[in-house]
Amino acid sequence: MTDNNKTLVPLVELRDISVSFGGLRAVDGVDLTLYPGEVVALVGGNGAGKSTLMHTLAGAHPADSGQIFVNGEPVIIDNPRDARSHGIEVIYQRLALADNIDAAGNMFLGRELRTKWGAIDDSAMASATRDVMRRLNPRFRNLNTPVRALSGGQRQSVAIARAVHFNARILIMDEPTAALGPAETAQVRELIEQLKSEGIGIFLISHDIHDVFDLADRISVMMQAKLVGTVDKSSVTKDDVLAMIIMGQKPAHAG
Amino acid sequence: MTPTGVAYPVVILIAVTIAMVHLSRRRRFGRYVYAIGGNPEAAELGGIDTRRTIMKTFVLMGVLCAVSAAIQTARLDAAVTNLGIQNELDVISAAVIGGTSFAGGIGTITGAVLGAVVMQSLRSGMVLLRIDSPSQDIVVGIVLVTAVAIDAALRLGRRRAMGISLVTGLVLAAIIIQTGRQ
Repeated sequence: MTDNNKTLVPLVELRDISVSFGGLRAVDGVDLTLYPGEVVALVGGNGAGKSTLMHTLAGAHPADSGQIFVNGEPVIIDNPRDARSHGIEVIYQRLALADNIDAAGNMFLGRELRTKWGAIDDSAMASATRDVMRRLNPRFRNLNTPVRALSGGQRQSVAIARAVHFNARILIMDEPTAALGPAETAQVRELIEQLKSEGIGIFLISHDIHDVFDLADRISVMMQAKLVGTVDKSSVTKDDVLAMIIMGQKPAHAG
Repeated sequence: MTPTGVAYPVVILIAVTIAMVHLSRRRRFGRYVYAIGGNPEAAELGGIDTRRTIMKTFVLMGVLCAVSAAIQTARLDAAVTNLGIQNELDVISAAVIGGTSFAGGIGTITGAVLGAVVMQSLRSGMVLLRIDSPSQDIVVGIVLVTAVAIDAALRLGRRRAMGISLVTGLVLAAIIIQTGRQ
């Protein structure tokens, strides 16, 4: 992230977001920004609230308080449809696919292409899926089998294809490589670089500190529902970030 | 009877079947119903209004129920308050025999229609064999339980359990049919 980017309007700005489950504060007053063409990694221990925060942006859990701005405009995101209408796409950790439906059906789930009679246009969806898959994962062939029969990497390809095809401007990746082997992980990394160069803003949730340092521009650390701090990757070492994750201390020299 | 000699209920059945196959396979609503059955969470996260879709499913069920009630009333030429009571046993059996899974997201309209044909053939056969009506219900119940057991065994990949439930079901049904003969 370079300094001249800071003058741009942030793609997403989360202001003072709080989310509770019953009496439990899962996210407590968190501020976060994301600029175009930037990867912000969100790290923290288990239960630090990073997934919940991203689910809030994706509309899966509405926030209790706080504001969300997209391109500087205040928006209300109450459900996943609202999030999508603002160009926010999510790749979930638990691979949110309907097992009994094929790859094309899953890719267009909720946004099916239709013929002029209003019927589902399966052939158009299959060919669009084939086009996206050619770009993402050329070895992907089983377009017409239910995704239950696919491997973890192939399922992840379907989830990513969904985000790519609908021209997301803001992409949330919740542990995108957790379910994948080394080859597929490399593919996902390549893809992140590619999407970044297209000006898409990416929130990356990860446990893998190496992934974070390879991919992210800025790193935000959460601990016990609060934001410890956001640092530029270039100004910190891995040890600094680990200290932030484990002890919740922001290094003195980092901005 | 229609001029060609086909009974109206059969014509209605064919029309409803075609309409429902179209709805379930080629309409967004049908796709959403399958998606919700397969993974409700994914469907919701995929931007489907699951509550609305489930409500529509119940509305559809009510409409189809009304069609069947109209047919039953016409056939009886009388409207009674307890019309169709205990039909749910046959209906559920037909759907399950036709390949609908209780786990959700699996099943077809044509399968359910074929299942209904099988169940009605069984009923008619038992009537011809002069099986008394309580025993008929027991046999239908056994068929339903066996079908569910086979479905569960197949899902868990237990082929032996599937064989055992099939054999047990057949033996029990045979015993009931024997004892229920008048």
